[in-house]
Amino acid sequence: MRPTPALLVRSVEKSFGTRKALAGIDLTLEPGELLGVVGPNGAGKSTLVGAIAGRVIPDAGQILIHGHAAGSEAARALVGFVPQELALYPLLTARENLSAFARYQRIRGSELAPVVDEALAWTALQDRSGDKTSHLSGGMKRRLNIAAGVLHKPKLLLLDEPTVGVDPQSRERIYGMIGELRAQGMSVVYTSHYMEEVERLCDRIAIVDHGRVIAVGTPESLVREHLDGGQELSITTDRYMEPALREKLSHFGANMNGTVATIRITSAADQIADVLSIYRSENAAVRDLALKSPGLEAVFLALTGRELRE
Amino acid sequence: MSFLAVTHTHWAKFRRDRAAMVMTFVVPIAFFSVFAMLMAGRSGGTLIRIALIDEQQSAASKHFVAQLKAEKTLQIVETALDGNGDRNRPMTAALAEKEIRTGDLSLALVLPREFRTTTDAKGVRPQLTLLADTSDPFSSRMTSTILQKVVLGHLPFDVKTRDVLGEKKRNPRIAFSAAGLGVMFLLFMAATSGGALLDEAESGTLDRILASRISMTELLLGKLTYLVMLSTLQLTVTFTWGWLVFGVDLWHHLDGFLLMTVVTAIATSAFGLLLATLCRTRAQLTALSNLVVLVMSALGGSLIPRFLMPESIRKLGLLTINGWALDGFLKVFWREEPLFALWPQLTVLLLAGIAFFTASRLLARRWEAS
Repeated sequence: MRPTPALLVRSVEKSFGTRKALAGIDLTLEPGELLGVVGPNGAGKSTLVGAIAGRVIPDAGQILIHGHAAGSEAARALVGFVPQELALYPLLTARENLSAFARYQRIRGSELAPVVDEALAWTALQDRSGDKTSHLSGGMKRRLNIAAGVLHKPKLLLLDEPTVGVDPQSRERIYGMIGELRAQGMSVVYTSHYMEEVERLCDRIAIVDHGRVIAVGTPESLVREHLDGGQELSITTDRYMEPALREKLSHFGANMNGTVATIRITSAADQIADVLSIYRSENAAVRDLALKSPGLEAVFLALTGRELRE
Repeated sequence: MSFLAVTHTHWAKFRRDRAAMVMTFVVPIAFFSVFAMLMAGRSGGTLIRIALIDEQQSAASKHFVAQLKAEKTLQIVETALDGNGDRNRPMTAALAEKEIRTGDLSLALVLPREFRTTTDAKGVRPQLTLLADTSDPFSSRMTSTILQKVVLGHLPFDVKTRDVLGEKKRNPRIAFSAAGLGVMFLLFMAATSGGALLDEAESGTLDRILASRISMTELLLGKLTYLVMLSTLQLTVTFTWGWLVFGVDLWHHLDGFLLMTVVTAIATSAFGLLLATLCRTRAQLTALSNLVVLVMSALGGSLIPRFLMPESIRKLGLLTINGWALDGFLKVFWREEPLFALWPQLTVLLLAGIAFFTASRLLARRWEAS
């Protein structure tokens, strides 16, 4: 028998006034899986996370967390929710914040101190545990924000853009923290605007737009299914490209901009030599050459378009 | 008892918030001290300054003047101001009236040429003219009383005024002022602290709390418990200060004080939560609470005792928390009524507290799952 999914979202709809935030969204998350949710601003990501946390009641559809309806007492005990905002008490110290949110999860008495100590160690904040949260750096606050959501050891963690506004070092630390949670078998729903981090961290990625999942799969399968499998060759000359060179390159469908020409190719071994022979014949010096396989960002832009959403 | 986790958090926040501590304890004490000093000045024998003009200059009128001069509560002015601001010319009724108009005097008593102290043959009673600036009603009322006493002093018996209620008490008026201002500050404090709910909604903390194991009812109940505790502490600190510095007799009225304080705290705290849940932003809450609290305090007798107000306004005061709370404190500290006599005030305040809390709970539904 198949194990109960960690998360099952089935045909969920939600409107705010006339705006449809979720338009029949479907998702499944297996236990221990890390699912990335990406989408343009206003695509419905935060509404989806809010609905899983039980903070948004869908107009239609069903959300089950390990078989329990979202928002129910049993589901709330299983879910850890880390909002996009720094949802902490700025006047309280790091330790007091963790203690407060632990108490809200009914961790009391002799259980409390070890849980808080463990969380402080996990976030590397032991030395700053007595400082007011408002005095901590942006990265420290982000770590504390995550820790406050996992004190009760949830089975499903909802991380809504957990690395917004943090430096690369803090981001690495946060990735490390998420890795440790996965090692404990926690399932994670991870929303982000950073394609690289989603590609790096997540087992599967769901691309959401207009309140629907428009594509879901591993990063590789998404590229395979939604792009033609071509690669992108970009060549930079040391001078502005002459009209004769531009004319010849245009036959390859090149996109030219100043000293850079970008060409989509399907067979690198054959086509690169052909392209370079044009440069040689036109005596144009090549300064830089790069061959790039398209990634999630290309899939994202191909599926959601390049138009600004807000 | 999960709501106690919320109470615990709010205490921890309060301990780290120096500005809130100053607003909770120092500001009310400072206000109360200023009021108490003014009141101590009035009740502690400030002289009533009054100009005296004897137009008759007879033996009888001079005797009357001498008697007035013997009154310890009156400071008699017999000379008028000259152009240089010195008092060196004889006072006349016209000059006294002029000085009252300019604010140099607030009272003047004229003994007319036809002055006498007894009813004449036709039954016409003796008449005196008291010129007064009625913006100081206390002085003119008190002077009338003193005059009657002096006039009656001509009769063959003595009249002694006995202050039936305030006779043996130590500074009951100051206790009343502590309660009046105290209740006003409780309302301000409750509205400000209740606003924490708006901050939590704004920062996303409310989302996180409600996604945890705490329900909205528990959250509000936790906040109410914290506010009631803090309010009780605030009034106790204010009254303890009143006892230490102004000699308010707190210890002989401790039971009544505590009963009234806790029940008043329940009503003001629930009202603060209601104001917060009515508003969408902190700015709205500040504007609304300033208006509502000041109007309630004025009508309810926090600033001027209700027994000095006209009957119609006095009745309006019963629509306010301040009115009921102060009636209760008056019974405890001034009338020294037994505890069971407080039942109307205790019942009304408790029911109001329950009603305000229920209303705030209903309004808070908008923050629950949308």
